[in-house]
Amino acid sequence: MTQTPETHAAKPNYLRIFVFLAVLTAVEVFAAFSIATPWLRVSFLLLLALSKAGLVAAYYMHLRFDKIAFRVIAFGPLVLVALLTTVLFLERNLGR
Amino acid sequence: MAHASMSIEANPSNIPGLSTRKFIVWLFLASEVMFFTGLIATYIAIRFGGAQWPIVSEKLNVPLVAINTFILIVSSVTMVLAYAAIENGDTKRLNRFLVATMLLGALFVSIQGYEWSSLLGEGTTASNGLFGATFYTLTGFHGAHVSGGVLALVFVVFRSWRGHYSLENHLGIELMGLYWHFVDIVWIFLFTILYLI
Repeated sequence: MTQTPETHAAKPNYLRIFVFLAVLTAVEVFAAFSIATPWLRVSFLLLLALSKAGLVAAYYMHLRFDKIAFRVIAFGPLVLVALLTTVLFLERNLGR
Repeated sequence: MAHASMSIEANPSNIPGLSTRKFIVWLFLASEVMFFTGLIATYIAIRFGGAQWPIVSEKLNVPLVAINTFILIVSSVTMVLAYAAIENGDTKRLNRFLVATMLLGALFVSIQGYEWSSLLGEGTTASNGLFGATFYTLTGFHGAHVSGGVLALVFVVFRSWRGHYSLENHLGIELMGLYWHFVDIVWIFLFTILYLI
């Protein structure tokens, strides 16, 4: 087993990313109990979750620095998932 | 058979510069994305489809799970620091961070076990309502993935102690990290959707 050629040259500051993740988690918990408007609370919490997931994928999983093929493999299923979820909700609403 | 495996190893994906093992791990993770998103979409459809639902913040121990979320995030940091250590050829730091990741993963599963036992003690089971059924299914599958990751880490730590990894040979650490960070990402969404919304 040898080191792969697609491994990245740039080295992100992993501890800085950790601080972002920790702060975003704290904000998330605070927002869950302090934002009264449901749609605003849900949108904000989902945005925070997406931001955290994006940070982990981009920097800890090195997708930002890796081969584009891995990004395609990682994000391809999300397109299928979006289709699945849309169909699921359409079917549920049409079934009423 | 040996010839076939050698040719797969040489150029598995037909994309120059891609390693076989890493390619396979990413394909596995892609299938896992679809698996978990199917579960989450079903949960959302059930929950917002008019089913009776308890007030989540009263039913679940959000502060405890917030701490558990933090533990999993810290474990992701220790995992990536293990990778950074071996990229610099530092096997001592590699061992230290791998053990830390393994222990933090085990702690996460233990706290989840405590949370489950508390909920079961209060009468919330998987069979007495849609809330319990979806909650235990989602957290159970994720917990199983973390447990699997901890077992894999035991194996990786053992190999690390035996001097298997080096500056030139550490793909195993990178692949272990990919799986571990994926499990962290799944929890980031589960924590938001199950506990905060």
